[in-house]
Amino acid sequence: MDPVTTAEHPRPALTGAAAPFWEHVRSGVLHIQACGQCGAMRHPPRPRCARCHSDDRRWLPVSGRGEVWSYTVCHPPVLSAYAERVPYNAVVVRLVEGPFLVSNLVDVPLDEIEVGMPVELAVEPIDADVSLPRFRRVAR
Amino acid sequence: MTAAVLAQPDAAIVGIGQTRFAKNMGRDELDLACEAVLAACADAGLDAREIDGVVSYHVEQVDEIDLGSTLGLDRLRFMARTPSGGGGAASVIGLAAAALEAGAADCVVAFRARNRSKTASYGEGINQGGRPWAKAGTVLADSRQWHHPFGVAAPAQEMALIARRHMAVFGTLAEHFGAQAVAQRFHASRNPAALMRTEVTIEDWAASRPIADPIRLFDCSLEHDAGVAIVLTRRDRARDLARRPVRVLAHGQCDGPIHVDLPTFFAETALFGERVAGARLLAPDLWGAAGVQADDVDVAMVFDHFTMAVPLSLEQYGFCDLGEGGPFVASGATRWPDGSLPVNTHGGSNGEAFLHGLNHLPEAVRQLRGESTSQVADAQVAFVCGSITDPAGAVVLGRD
Ligand SMILES: [Zn+2]
Repeated sequence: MDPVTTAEHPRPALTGAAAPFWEHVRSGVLHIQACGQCGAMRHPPRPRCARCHSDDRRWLPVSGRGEVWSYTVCHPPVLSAYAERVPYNAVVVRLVEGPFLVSNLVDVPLDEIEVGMPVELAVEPIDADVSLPRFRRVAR
Repeated sequence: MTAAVLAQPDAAIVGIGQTRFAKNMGRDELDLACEAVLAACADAGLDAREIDGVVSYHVEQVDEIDLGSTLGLDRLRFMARTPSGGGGAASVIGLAAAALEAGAADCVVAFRARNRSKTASYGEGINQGGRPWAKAGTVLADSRQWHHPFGVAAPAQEMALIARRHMAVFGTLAEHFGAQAVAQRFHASRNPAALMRTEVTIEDWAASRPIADPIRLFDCSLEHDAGVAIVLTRRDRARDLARRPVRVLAHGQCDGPIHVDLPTFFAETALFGERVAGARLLAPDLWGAAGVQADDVDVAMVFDHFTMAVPLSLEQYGFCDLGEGGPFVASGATRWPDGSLPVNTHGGSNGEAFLHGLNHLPEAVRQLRGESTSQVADAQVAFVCGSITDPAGAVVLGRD
């Protein structure tokens, strides 16, 4: 997607348990929080592992590959930061490692988006502090 | 089980009340709640001061104590709220019934009041006036940071992503949701209290503007001002009041992920057959407790923030097989008078009003009293459920 030029793009606060996620995206490699004991991944980050209840956590690099699990095409009313690019796509991507992310596809015409489409990470900066984990289509 | 337990008094709905449903009424939520509560008490034929329990949704703006002080409710001894917004639609009745069954209260009111007209905001709360996503701010520390930066902020967009998955897994069509929109607008056209009195066709639905594919404007719930209240008491006491009581045959809550956190939603949902959880786990217990089955239900009020929720809910509670909700709706099954299971006969949230589903409860009561504007002949059993995209619950109601 084109960089947003309108002011006030919604952004993460870069605080708390989520901060490492966004720091890793900005560095170009997607990381997902995992249990320090049993290794189960979870997203969004949480203080405990739902499988073993450990509070040990670490951030694991993931492949950035996945598939389109669902998609929509957004028309007004939308957030003001997105007003100039309607209609735009929004997707849910399932990473091959399992976790799901809400995101957008870059460089895919709206009428070519399909559930099951293989995708890979396409990190897009929105400014010096924040980059978003978007995705691009890859060959099956 | 002892006879004493079997003889435990159960709960009945004895009064329903509502304000006018309209945009820009210029009245705050407390004002609307008071009118609805007093109307429900008048319907029941009891003094509001007899209320000793108050239940509502966690998104409710009216504080229980404010309501009590305004109406002189000086014997409140049970107060509780349900988790999630529309998920609580039926659960508030379950909370009230549980309080009555436990002896924690004798007379409980469930209420919801909203002031959501775009030009009449009485407060700066996220759930007051205008569109919540327009008030979200742009620096997000909570779960909105996983949605808003990608332009996903409106409930329609979140529900579109859930609906699209259902379409991909089961072959459901947008037109199936449209069929429910059209049926509800027909029901609304017959209901003088409804906001939308004009009947629409499937062609009108298809011509209504896209909001978030596959959701169109006519699939969406309405935004306006309103208050609704429902009064319950024990069944033995209910017989002495003004109106024929409606029994709470069974009630139950269920957990489940919520649409405002879609990464967790898709990891944990049972909507697409991944597992038996949430409403599908509740359903057999609910029917068992009610002593009836889905086939015995005469009329259903299904939470419908967007019409896609109707077929998905009907699948989870066993009115049709998993994946068959779309064709079931499109067959006309949910349309009064000829459908086998008329759904949202008051017009639902796209036709009558949107109060996180609490306006669906009075319609179930009217059906069991024989007073609906789209009356199902000799309706004996009604089903009401909360949002399928939230932690939710359901109640089964019956004529006493
Ligand atoms: Zn663990």
